Amino acid sequence: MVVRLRFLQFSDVHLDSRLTGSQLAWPQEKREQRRRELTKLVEKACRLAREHKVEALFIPGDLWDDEAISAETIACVREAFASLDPVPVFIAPGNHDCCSPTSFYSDEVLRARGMRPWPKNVTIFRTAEFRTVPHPARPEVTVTGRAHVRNVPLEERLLSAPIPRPPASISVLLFHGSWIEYAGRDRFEQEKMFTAPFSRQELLAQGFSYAALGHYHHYAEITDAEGRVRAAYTGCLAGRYLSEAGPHYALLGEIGEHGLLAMEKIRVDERMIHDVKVDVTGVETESGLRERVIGRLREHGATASDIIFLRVQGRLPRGLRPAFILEDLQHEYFHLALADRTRPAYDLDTADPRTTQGRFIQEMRRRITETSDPQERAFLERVLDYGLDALIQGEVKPIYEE
Amino acid sequence: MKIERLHLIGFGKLRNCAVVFDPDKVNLLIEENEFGKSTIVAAIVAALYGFPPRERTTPDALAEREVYRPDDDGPYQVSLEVRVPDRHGWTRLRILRDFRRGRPRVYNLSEGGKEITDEFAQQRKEIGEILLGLSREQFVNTCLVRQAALQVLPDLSDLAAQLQKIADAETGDRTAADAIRALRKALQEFPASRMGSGPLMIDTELQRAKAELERIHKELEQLDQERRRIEPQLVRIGDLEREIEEAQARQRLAHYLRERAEYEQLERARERRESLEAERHRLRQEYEALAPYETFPAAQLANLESWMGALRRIARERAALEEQLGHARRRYAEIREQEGRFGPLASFTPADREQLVVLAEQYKELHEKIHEGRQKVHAEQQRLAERGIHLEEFERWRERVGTLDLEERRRALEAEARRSDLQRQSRLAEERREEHLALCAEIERERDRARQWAERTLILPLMGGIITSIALLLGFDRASILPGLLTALSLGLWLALRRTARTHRRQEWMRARAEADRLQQQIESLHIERAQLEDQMRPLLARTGLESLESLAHACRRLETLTAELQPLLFERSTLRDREREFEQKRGQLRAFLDRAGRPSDEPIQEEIERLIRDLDRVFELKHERTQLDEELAQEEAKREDVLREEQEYRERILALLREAHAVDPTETTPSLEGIEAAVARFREGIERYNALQRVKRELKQVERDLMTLPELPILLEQRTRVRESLSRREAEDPGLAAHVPERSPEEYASEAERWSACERARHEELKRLQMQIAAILDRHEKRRPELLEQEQDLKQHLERVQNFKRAVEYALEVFERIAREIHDQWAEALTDISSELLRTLQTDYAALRFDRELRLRVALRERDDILQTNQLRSQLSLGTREQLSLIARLAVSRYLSRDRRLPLILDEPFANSDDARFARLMRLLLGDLSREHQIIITSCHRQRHEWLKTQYPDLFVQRVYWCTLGPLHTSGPSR
Repeated sequence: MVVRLRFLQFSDVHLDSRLTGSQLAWPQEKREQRRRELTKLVEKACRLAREHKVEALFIPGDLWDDEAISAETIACVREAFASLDPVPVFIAPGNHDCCSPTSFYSDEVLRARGMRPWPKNVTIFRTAEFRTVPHPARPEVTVTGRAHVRNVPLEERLLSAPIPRPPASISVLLFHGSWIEYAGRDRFEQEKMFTAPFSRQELLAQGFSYAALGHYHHYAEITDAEGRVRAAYTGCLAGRYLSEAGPHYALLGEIGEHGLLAMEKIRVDERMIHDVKVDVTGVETESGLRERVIGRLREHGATASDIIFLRVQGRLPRGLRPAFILEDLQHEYFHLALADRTRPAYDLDTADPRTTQGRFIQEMRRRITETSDPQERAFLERVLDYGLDALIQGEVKPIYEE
Repeated sequence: MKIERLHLIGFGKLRNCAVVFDPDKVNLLIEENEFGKSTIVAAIVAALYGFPPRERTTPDALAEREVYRPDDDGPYQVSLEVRVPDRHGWTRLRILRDFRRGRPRVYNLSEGGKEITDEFAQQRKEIGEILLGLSREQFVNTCLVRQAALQVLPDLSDLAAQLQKIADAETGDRTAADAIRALRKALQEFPASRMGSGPLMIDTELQRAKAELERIHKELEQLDQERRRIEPQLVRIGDLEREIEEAQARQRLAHYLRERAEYEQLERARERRESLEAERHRLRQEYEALAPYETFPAAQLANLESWMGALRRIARERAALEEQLGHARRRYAEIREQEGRFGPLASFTPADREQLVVLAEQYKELHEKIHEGRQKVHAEQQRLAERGIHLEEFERWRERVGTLDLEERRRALEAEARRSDLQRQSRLAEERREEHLALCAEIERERDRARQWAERTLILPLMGGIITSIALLLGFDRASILPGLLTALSLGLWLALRRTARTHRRQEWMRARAEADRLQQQIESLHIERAQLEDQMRPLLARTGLESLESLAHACRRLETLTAELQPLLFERSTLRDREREFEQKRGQLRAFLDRAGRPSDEPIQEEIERLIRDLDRVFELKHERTQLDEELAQEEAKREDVLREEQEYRERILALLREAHAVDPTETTPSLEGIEAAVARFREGIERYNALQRVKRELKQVERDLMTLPELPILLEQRTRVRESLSRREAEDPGLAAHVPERSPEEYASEAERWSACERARHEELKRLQMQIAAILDRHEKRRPELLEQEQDLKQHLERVQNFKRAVEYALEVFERIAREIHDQWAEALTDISSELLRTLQTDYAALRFDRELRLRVALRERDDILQTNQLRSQLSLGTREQLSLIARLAVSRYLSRDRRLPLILDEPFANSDDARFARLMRLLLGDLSREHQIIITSCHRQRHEWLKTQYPDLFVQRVYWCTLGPLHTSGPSR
């Protein structure tokens, strides 16, 4: 008889994210609405778990974004988890929701805030050491996990040595860390912490039936030599920042002794972030600009409930202001952030190298062409435009800084 | 490139007209003002370059497209036919621009009008730029000389600025220096400053942003530290919660045990109530049986017992009294008999007896002392006689002066002593007076001797006087001086000696004399005092018969001496006599006592006296005993009477009570004590029944009371059931409770539960307080941290933007400055070379034009060796010359930019303000050498002036000038 465990996995919800400083430029009321939505998503995911009659809920970290999470949100999450009882919920705190003594993972803190402690069906791995607990209803299933106790990078290769644990038919690992072979969009994000690194080889060598992974915000899976999925990042449950554009999922699956037997990615969030780039070079009229942008949005399949990051780039005649022309588009989507990356339509191609302007253009374009670093290229492009602004417009403003 | 024909299909106010140009000549278009000459020039530029793109337009330029837009909705088109050199010679092209559609078309007329628009479009440049090698601005700035454009250069130093504009910017009219200023300004006055109220230096902006960021970091750190500080409180909360749980468990247990105890209590109460009800029934039956004793005088039992006790006591006392009375009467008779035997002694009293005893003792003691005194007197007489002291002498002196009392004798002795003292003092004063008188006599004798010496020296002055007188008389004046001096000296000596004799020991003499006088007075006063003393003693002498005070004093002293010596003897003798007298007196008294006792004796002896005393003692004893017996008998009799009366009283009381209790026969009036005792025993039995009744009543009452304290049986049963159910619930909740058994009362368990409840409340209060403290910290953390993180993120982004902007601008600045320098150097070199080449073909006064790095012009004249610097041009060169130079510079620029192509030169009303001579000279330059190199198009309204010029240079005009006209379309061009 094949041993199976039906589970739901999600992570990196980052509840109560501030949503500030984002290129999405959330306005205050949208930020608050989105925060509320994130909280509701947890409830929704729990409903989903009940509907699919899962036997366990795995949350490998970053349930919330910062220890300054509101008590109200914690209360909602707690109630959502309690509603799953007796289905166990296993949580391995990540770097954002690190399990410090003053964290909301502490029952004392909850009680200090006048709240009830975590329900008994919730198992929180509160120590930095790996701990293995049996599934309360399935003794042949064990769950191993650990907690990040501080939000600091952890360089130690925690999976390089075997994790001691009792034998079990199905052994699950909850782990929050950086898979070094991960190549998702947020891998090289500047602010993304590289912590608790591990390799595919190290993970597979541990021999867990399945590892529920958290930290990276896009779906990724690790398969063994036989092609069986042995670990998966579900990614974040919902997009909050531009780097999280695209669909996001909770993972509904069945674990066998050696990997997933079945899996289904379920979108919990009805919204999706679209990163839409529109090159408007050559457009000379307002209507032309609108047509091009709307056409591009349609290509992306953006719907009214979605979140749009619209990058308008290219060179435009100075009189055309995308921000004004596209202002009404903001009412057609839940949120639309317009990034006007257009530059003045300076004639760069016909520049006469015998003039200062021409030489400057030529020189800068040469440097731009020569560099392979995208950031350096962007920088040199800004230098070019600032220089031309100075020469042609007679004034320089930091309008090209993103 | 040469312009051959311009078709104005619709441009400005010109429609369907054309101008034909001669490519090799100076084309003169002379028309009146408002004819449209400038429109034709604008149409040429627009045909070549179109209108300026939107981003380059200034408010003025923005209107250019609209300025030339035809008023009606007709075509807005121009067509320009040009010829351009190629490898094979010339190619003729037509440029057709429809400004309403925007895209120009190009046709190759040399190839039968083939459209070659795409060839131009591929180059992504304006057609004019492709054909001329100049941008629109460059073309306008170099090949197009608008009306009075040259005259605006009064100072050729402005030429440098114009050249810089051309050299630096292909679009706009700013120089690299302007751009550098703009870049620097962006660093000096950061336009997107957020850290100040206005633009700040970008470094200041960065510093402030960093400082603010640091402040935020510190506050974040403080918040974190604050949050860390609640860790011990959280631990305490855990402890408190455990303690609360324990307190709750204890409370549960206490409540359980209380209910268990209550249950047991209820069970006991039920049992007790049932037993009490049975007891009440029994007691009621007993009560009914004892009810007749309800009125029994039980309260009198104590009285009865008391009375009975008294009656018994009285009976015993009465018997004892009667026995004592018999005994006392017998003793009384015996004493009377013994008293009769002592006869007269019966009259003696105890005082007599005491007096007798004292007398006997004194008598005996005096007898012994008299014997001892006699022995002592005899011995003292013997001892004094041995010392020569006899009692007779004493008696003799006492006879003389014994009449004097002691005071008188003391006065006699003191007077005698004083008299002797006065006599001695008088003698001493006399001796001292004699001494002082002797001293005075001696001093007087010494004075007399000195006086005699002085008298003797008197002769010397007398003799000197005489000799001097003689000398004077004899006339020996000088000789008289010496004797005169000697006389005076001797006279002085005499006087001195005389004074010495008179004052010799004067003080001493006076003191001795005064002392002698005082002593004389003292002697006299002593004599007087002695006489007075003798007078005072004279009466004593008379009383004693003695003659002198010395005798009296002697007699007194002797008497005192003898008295002192004989005093013990005299005292003993006197004492002996006194005792003898007293002895006699005591003997008489004793004899009287013996006589009174009937036992007469002349010489009482000690034995008799003692026997009498013993007999008296015995008599007194018998008498005393008899008296006591009398008193006792009287008292006993009285007591007996009292006892009998009291007995009767008690008997009556007891009988009355017994009759009341029906314990005695009412008819029996004087029952015996035994009968009374039997009745009392019956009374006691009644009492017992009465007491049983009372007990039954009490017990019944107590039972009733006890029953009152207990709930009714149904209620008890209901309560027991309820408690049992509660216990069952508790045991179901906590099965472990059933193992506990109550050992104390429910109240104690309730108290214990209350204690644990208070403990729980106290823990809850502490917990609440801690929770409030932690909640306050977490609230602050929850509220403030996101704000700070948001500020931090915002500031970081701002900082990054500013840093990136700064870096980009600095980068642009560095590149710009370097390139501008290089470009200007290249331009200076190129313009200098080209202008030199131009000058070689032109007939001018200048040997060379030189441009420096700033594109400032310097001029080398042919007739002068030196070079005119830029600042000298205005003063050294005429305006016309400067205009020439300006024109040449433009040509140099156009040739440089067009890579030495010979571009058409279009002059719109040039030299309008020049005088004729200058006009002629400039036109000469154009018509002459320049027109051979460049196609020149001149528009002007000054027909007469050009007619005049034609008269000035008729050959040149014929050879080099083509008069253009604006005609309808398809006007044929000049003949080749």
